[in-house]
Amino acid sequence: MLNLKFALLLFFFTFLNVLFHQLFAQSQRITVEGVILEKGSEAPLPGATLFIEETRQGYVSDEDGRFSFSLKTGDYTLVTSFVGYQSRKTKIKATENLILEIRMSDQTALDEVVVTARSKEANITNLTMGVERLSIGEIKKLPALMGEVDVIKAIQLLPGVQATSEGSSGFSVRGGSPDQNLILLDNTTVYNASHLMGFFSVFNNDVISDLELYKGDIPLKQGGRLASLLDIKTIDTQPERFSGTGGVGLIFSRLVLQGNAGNKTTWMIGGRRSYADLFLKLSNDEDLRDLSLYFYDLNAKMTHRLSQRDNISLNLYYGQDHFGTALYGFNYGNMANALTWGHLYNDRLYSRFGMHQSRYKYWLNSEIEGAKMTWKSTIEDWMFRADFTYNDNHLFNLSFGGTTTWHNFKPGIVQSEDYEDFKIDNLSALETALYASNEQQLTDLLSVKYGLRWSIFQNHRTYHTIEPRVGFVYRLTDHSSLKANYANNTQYIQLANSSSSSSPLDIWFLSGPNIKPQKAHLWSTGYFHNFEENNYEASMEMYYKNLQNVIDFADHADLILNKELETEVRTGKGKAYGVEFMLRKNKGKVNGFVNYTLSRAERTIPAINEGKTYLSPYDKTNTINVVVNYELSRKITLSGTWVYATGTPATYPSGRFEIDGEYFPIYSGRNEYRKPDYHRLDLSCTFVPNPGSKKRFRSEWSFSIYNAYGRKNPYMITFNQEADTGVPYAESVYLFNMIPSITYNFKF
Amino acid sequence: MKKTNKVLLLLLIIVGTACTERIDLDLKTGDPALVIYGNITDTLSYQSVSISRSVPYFASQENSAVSGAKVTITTSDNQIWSLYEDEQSKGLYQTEELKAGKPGETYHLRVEYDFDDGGDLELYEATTTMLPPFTMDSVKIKTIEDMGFNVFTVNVYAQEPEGEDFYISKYYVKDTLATKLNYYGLMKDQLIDGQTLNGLMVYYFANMAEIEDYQEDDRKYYTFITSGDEVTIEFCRVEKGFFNFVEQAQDVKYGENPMFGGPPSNIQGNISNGAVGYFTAFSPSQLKAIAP
Repeated sequence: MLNLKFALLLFFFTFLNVLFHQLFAQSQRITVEGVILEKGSEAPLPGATLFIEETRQGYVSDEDGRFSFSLKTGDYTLVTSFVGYQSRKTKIKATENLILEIRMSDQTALDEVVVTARSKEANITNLTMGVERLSIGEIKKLPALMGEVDVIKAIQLLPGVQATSEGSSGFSVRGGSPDQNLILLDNTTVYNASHLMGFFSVFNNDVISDLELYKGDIPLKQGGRLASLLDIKTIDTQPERFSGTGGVGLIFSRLVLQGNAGNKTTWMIGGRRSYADLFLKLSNDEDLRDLSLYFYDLNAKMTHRLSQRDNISLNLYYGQDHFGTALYGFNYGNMANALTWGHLYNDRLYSRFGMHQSRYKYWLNSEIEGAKMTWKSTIEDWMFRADFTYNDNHLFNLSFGGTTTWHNFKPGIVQSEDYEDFKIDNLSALETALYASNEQQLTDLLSVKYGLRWSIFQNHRTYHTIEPRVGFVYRLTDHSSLKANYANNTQYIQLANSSSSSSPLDIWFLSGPNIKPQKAHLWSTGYFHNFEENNYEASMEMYYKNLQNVIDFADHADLILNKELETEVRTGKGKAYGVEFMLRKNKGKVNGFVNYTLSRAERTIPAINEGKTYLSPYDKTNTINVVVNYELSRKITLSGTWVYATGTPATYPSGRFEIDGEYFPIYSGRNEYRKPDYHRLDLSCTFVPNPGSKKRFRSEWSFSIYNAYGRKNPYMITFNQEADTGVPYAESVYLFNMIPSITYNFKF
Repeated sequence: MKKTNKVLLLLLIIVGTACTERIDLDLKTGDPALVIYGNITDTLSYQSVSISRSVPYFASQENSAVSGAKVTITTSDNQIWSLYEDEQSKGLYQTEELKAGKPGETYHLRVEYDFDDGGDLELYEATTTMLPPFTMDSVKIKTIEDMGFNVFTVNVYAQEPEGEDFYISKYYVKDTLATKLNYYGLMKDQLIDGQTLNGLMVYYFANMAEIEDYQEDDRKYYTFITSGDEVTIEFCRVEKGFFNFVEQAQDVKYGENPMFGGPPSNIQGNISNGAVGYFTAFSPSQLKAIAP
């Protein structure tokens, strides 16, 4: 049955190709391809933008700085631009196939202009829907908690993305759970992206070049999660000389160094560490001296060009959190490593092979007499992947390949001197996927993409899924387009977590005989319009998402160190729908964006809430985000963000009963109430003392205020009884009042 | 859960500027429910069950007692105990004579009462079995010091029997119960099944001498005792259902715990016909120790 389905889809795929080939292969076209390199270092520049002035078409260089497109014969002007580099124009005579090498010079300016690493017209021409891009230049301007801008906090400002709770680095995309997001750092999965219980993410700004968030319509080469892909890339660009960037803030300090070893090898090493514990050590209060609390991150990267056609790259990440006193300690951390080899076979076929290791680990230890123990848990993946792109410039703009991942989870082992070891059985599974997708321009106005991903999950039983994803763009005018698409995603591994914000005690479990894979069908459509030569981008997207076998947990589920975790799982259906409006201004003294989302997300699970439909924990009806940057002068930039969201669903008691003078709650249903609405204003001011300086060392100061008007947004609502009368009352716990901070950044 | 809540709050205070503020919530009024709660023990006493009704959560009046119910307990030896309402204490139903349960015996509770005022009596039932006692060899109270706080720990020496067991522990200071249901100690044997407990820490108390060092909001998480107090440690092996009832009650007593707890939901009892509460039986064993 499955094979038949697959064969039919494959047939359909081929048929479409032949059909389009017959109908639309007409005028004489030539191929232009090449690579964009950094002048001097010869390092490839991925994500650089190529724009053809005459056709108003835009392209973006791939991970190895390569690009390729086809044109009707004629004369053209190519404009190449990239964050932090001087744009350049190249005139080309397209009479026959061309191979270009374009070199760009470093702008050597610290205050990066807001240039998104993509075609100016990408908003209306890109075939993928529900995709959001942020450059690090944009992110760094945002005001931030404790003065430390964080990429995950930045994406929480995008339409359709919600913070799971105040200050958290968990996020929900279009009503999905945080474990439905695939977070990749240079293509390697990061299982738990939080530091300090979620107040910071594991991503160090200074090592990141840009990020893309796909809100459901995930490129076919990735998959395995229902809600989104957050694709974070570290810097690939290397300056001509040894250089560094860094910063000193209230919470941690950062330093990133980059350089070359010969003209074929480039390297980068970066790290940061928090130092709250160092202050505690100096504290007069003896009680605090035993407290230790810190986190650190290390990133390293090395790229070597073996030949004109080959390059290899090694990327390493290691980070850890520690929290403890003299009597107990708690540690957790991620590792994400990758080795990749890119090879160009000929002007049409390019491949990348990669080996990726991800690990998330936590361990607790107690030295308390009578309760001495250590508790460890590890999640580890080994992934091998092969990705190919083939481009013949009229029929095929093809990506295909496969991945195979060995999941090995050790959910928990508790060891102690006095008692026997307690161990939850290891879980392992093989997740394999084959994919193929194609993008083609059918007419001047209509482009399509279509593809399939065949995912196979094997542990005690085998599941197969064919995941089709299709989309089209129809250009209404030079400045506007209509898009629509459908995406199908399947998720085989999931997090056992019933709390609303993430804790570090992650336990992942697998689909198996009793737990079917979760599936999502996403339909979306949208209208995109650019104004004033693409300075303003406007969009409206609507989506409807249908979820099957969606997972939730029994009331009072016992998820920690439970050998029979599966008995706590409840499955059912879910749906989410909404509309997202976005208006962005890219240039000018005043730039930024405003977005508004109207959405709903709900679940219906027979064994929960008496089978009645209830709101997903991350449902927020209305969300508004406003980000404004104002360049007051070359020295001073002011920024502000304002966020507003409907309060998250909450469960409050409707009655109470009494046992021996103590009151206990009675509930009438799950998520029947909402917390008070959330809103917050953050402000920042970036001061560059010498913007025109020719000196190598440059610096800037950043002052920020988080929650400028001191809104007391509730983190949790708790209940208690009056000490004297015993009458119950409610209290709101809020985390942050107004928090001012200061950060010093430098670059050399 | 009290421990994780404490850890969470500690982290929030260190990391942020966590503050609390009273708020007014406008809550719906749920349908009133009949509340039945009772424990049978193997101590010779007037065995009792209390019956009351639920009230809206923020109601200022106390939960009202239910009078006039017909209450019986049938043992597995087919004895029928009739329970009558105490004249001094409304809603408390007691056996007429002193009775003692026996480990291994099953008890069936029947409560007949016209709760919905429909003119007919409704029947509310529950069944429980008394498990054998848990024998402690000895108990010690020790002190540990962490972060400048002195904490009393209760350490138990005993042989834990084979098989899945669930325990609650209660603490009496100077013969008065110091730990009501929300402060019962809870112990599962998943990590120690069938093993010798060589001073296992099962509970802790804060030191009354340091009460001023605890933030007012945090004091609710602790029971305070004083050095020199004589503490009676009572251990009861209980049914899984009752263990869960206590654990769930403690989890939701203060509302949600966004980091370590799931969405709050009803405390699952064992009384039929939609009544709230629990009817159980256990055989407590007690030892005394002095807080150093």
